[in-house]
Amino acid sequence: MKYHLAQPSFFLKITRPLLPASGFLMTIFFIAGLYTSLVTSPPDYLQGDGMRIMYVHVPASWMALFVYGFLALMSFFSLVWRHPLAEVLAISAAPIGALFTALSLITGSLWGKPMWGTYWVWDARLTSVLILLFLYGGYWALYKSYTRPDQGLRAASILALVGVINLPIIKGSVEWWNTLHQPASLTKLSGPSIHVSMLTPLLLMAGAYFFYFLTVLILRACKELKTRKLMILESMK
Amino acid sequence: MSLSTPHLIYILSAYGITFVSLSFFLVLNYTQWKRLLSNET
Repeated sequence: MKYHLAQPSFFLKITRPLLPASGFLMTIFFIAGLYTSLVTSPPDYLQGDGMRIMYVHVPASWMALFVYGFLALMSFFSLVWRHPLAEVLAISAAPIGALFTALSLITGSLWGKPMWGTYWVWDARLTSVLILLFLYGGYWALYKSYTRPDQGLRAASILALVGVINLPIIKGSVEWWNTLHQPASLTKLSGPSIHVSMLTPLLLMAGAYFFYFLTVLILRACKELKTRKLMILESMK
Repeated sequence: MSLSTPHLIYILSAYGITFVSLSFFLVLNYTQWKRLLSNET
């Protein structure tokens, strides 16, 4: 990638048309995802309609992991190359990832009560996702705890990189340990073991969550870049 | 899905919490971005 493509000014320029496009796609995917998950998809033969909670729970879990990976990558760029855009993208992504993680835990609990008979168990998958939420919280707390934002960001970036170890643990938790949480039914080597009528709403909701992330990330990153610009202008007065 | 389905309260709570929190966070960020944009111009 050419260096000028990663310039904040270029980012602001390309996100101007990208923001409405992403917002539009998010809306379309949410409408289609909601319609297919609540109306057209059949109830599960064992779980009944309770299975519909999976259409909001599973994509939230995927996004929680994806956003953490993105945060760690941006933290790496910001630590190694001190790139301002990578810093801004990391700071902007962290609260969105925390929101997806919290939603994954809450919706998972709401599914667990009727299916397992309890909202929470200290199961390897649930506990490792809770640790992911604490990592997001720790990242934000470290970033905000220093008077100089660059020092806070450096400490938070190191935590984000250390926390990457939790991602394979979350993924492997259902295979390495005996857990109440079911193993993966979509992302496995032998192919997905889910019928297309249930796969469609799942993928549509995943698309909606992805474009939600993109839309909010652009809003937050533009806001952060403009705030930094205003602060520089203020300090020059 | 009918309104008499078992576990309806859990399904509605999961969808309700998801969409209320996602909408709240989106609107919050949009208004902050919009305010900053209008201050700049």
